[in-house]
Amino acid sequence: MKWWNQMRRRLAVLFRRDGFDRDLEEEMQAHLDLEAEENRRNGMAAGEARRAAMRQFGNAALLKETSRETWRWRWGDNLARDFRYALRTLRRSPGFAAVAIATLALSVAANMAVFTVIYKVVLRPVDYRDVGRLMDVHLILTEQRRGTIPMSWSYPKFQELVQLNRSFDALAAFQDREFTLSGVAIPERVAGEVVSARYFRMIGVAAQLGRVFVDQEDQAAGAPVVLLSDALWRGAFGGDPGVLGRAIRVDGLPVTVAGVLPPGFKGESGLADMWAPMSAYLRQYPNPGRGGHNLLAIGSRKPGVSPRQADADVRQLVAQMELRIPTDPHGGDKWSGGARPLLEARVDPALRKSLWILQGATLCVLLIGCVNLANLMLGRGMARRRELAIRLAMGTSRGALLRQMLMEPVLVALGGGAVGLLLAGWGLRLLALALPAGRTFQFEYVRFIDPQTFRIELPLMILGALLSLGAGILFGIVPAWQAAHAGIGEGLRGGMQAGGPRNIGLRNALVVAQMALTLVLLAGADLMIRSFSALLTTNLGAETHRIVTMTAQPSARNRVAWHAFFQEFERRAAALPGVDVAALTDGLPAYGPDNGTTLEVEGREDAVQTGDFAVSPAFFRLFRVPIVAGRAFDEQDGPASPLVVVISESAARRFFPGQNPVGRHIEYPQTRQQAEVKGVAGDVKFGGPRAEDGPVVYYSMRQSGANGYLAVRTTGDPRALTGALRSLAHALDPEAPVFAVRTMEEIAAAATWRERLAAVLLGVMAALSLALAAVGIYGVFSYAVAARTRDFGVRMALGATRGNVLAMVVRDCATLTGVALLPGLPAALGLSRLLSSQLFHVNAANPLSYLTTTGLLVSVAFLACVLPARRATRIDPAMALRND
Amino acid sequence: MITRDKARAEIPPGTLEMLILKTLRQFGPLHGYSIAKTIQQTSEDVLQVEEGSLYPALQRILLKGWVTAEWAQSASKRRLRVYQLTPDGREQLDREISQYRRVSEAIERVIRPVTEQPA
Repeated sequence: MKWWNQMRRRLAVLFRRDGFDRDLEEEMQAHLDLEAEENRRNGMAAGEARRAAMRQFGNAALLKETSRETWRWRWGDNLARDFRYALRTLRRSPGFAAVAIATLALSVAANMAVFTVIYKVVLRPVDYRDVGRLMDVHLILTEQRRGTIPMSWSYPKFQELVQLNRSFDALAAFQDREFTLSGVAIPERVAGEVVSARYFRMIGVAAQLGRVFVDQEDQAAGAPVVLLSDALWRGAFGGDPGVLGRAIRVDGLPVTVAGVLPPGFKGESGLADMWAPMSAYLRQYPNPGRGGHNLLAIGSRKPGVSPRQADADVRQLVAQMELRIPTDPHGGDKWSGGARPLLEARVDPALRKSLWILQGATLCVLLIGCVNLANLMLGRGMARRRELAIRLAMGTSRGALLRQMLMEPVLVALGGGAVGLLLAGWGLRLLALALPAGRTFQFEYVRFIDPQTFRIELPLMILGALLSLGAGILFGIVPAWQAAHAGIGEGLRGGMQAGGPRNIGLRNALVVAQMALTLVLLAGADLMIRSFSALLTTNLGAETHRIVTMTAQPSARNRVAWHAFFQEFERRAAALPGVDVAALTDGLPAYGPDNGTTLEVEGREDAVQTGDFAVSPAFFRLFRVPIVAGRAFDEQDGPASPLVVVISESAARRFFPGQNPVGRHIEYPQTRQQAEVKGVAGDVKFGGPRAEDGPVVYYSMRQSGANGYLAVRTTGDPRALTGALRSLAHALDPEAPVFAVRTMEEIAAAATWRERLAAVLLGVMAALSLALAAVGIYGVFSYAVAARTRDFGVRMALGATRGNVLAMVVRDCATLTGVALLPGLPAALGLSRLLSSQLFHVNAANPLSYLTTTGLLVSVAFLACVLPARRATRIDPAMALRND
Repeated sequence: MITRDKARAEIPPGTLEMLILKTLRQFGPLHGYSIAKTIQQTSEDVLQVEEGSLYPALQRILLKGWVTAEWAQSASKRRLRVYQLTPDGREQLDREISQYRRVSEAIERVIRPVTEQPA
């Protein structure tokens, strides 16, 4: 407490330093004046009186300086002195400084890069006002086919939610949509959102130009207006402020630009460049049904309502709604609802987990690096024992010595941290490359965060500085403490041999910890790599080589013309030179979204759920999907002929167990339309390699009139044909934007990006830690061999062979490795349990995995100790015995 | 002048603070000049404060929180910095006096003529 009061007084002086000087000056002057007056009263002449006063007073300048000194920050001065001292010692050993700074810089950079991604993706993905009060309000569907998934709202259900709501100040709805922007140089497909007017007010985003939507624009009769993102405004409209109020063409209709949103704002989807009000939704769906679940909802919690209460309240409201009008009166599906904090809701849960695991791994690398540096520091402490002992004997306090010894690692850490921050920028770029540049499919609605926007921001820099400082203290404290508490007499006498078993024991313990950590990382990386390669070798059921896919948005507003466009597109594409096969499909293998439907099957009581796709006859040939029974579609299956379907093998097994499905019938319950099964095709993993083979029903695009993607198998490089295919589309319809141009190989790779990320990065971290551990083992054994030179000399003089000496060192190393396995293996098993949900076709506890990683660690440890051990065998006994 | 100075003694190091605190306790709040004069007068001009050295000492005890300082106006309208003892300073003074007594008694015992010591 006293200490604190002094500190406060010191601070007070520090912050009004001239005040302090002025006071002192005035006070001393007053003293001199009074003295002189007194002297004059005693009869001196004025000049003499003044001179006498000054003599009596003493050296005023010196006294002022001494007074000021009292308030000086002594520890600040000491710190500066220690700093200079540490700088000098480091300059004398540039090798140590370089190794230490490089180790820290690399591991700090890795940590910073990973943490920046976590910060941007998981912790602080958006910067909305009052984001803590915002919640994602959703429905929850439990169905037999896909389990429990969060669902969006239908328009009528959302209206009911707004009426019944008790927990939220306000609720906003929105929907992801793509718009076709025409009337600009090239017709553009623009990602965007349809939002209710509350949306912008709720998240606290105002227009930088013009206005956001008003409540009237939520009504069907609302004026057709749009808002633009800053990027689209600058890109397509050249940043012209005159765009406000201008009529542009969106989806072929004239609309007015009402405003431009601030730079960086991309909406809840993270991708939006254009926003339309709910009136646009109501024009698209004039009579939205209860079952059309396509609106997401955000609510801002009322003050005093906890997230848990809000969640329970929504669940109760939905139960009430379901009681009144059940969504699925036939049973089967169960509907419920809930609310969760917005900051958590839009984060890809698998990515979140991968990132935290990765962060753990990078922290491990930092720890392992710290262990190496601690070992190096211990070695340096040993080398300086005599110097330190002399200084202790001369009266330096142990506290001062500890501070001084700690200054060196802290200095190294700050240097490493500074270099690390520079490197982290690059690391972040690399990491951003491993993240998808666009949204990838998943069941949950995930906000896209553009990796290109990742920057190491100020709070992260401060964190990085603290991290490196912490690392410095971590690896410096034990060696510094040991150096400062060594016995004086021992230190003064001691050479290397006096190093003492305590020190060796400590260093061994550090190496054991290091090896154990490395084993954990190796095991984790091994599992992820196995899992990833299992994914890569998974048969999708469809061939993906030399296929390019794309889609287009014809300007025609009716389904017939639209359908005709795609038919013609397919026909002309097939005729293009270099094209082997062209087909249309509304779903792509490994791409994910499948439109589920409910069917009734001839001879079965219950309705079945299945994925369904519309494809053109060439689909099976293009993707080399085998027809295992019956036939594929042909050109005879037209709009006039009876409805036919091809079903997948899984569907055949599930719908018609033990029977021949060909010739049997299925029925669509809504339309009562019957279709005959004409063939059975091999299973295709539409949901990506991780997906289970579910039942799939294909129907013919010639009969259904659906649209989707054009897929083309080429004879050469598929990318080379995209230009020609684009021109085809533009020739058919100059207003039609062509988009989503991807090769099937890109699509398949995108389906496994999380696993790739985890495998590659964990692999890199594990390799890094293995290298660091090897350096650590090498260092410790080099030192141990040097310390035991005389011991080995005596043994060899007494007849030990070189082989005996070698075996001694290797045995020590084997013991350390063995000890490291004791905590290492259980810890690795623990980690793999954590990973198990991320693994694919790999058993987290598979013995082979642990055998290989243990083997790898053991062989690296052996290699790292064999070099110093060979040095031991070359000791000349005579030299060793003479040598101090 | 020179002879008079010789009759005066320098204050032993470290005791100046004690003298200041004691003076403040005895006479209440004082400014630097009168502290110096008071010490000289109460010691009957034996103790000679190099007057300027009073000020670093005052800064030290200010920092420790044993005194507080405040600007005040004298009858002759001069601004003077007046020091006042704090409760902490009072305690410190007691400690220092008893410490000083112990030390000086010990010194006294050591330098007492040998014959006077009990056998």
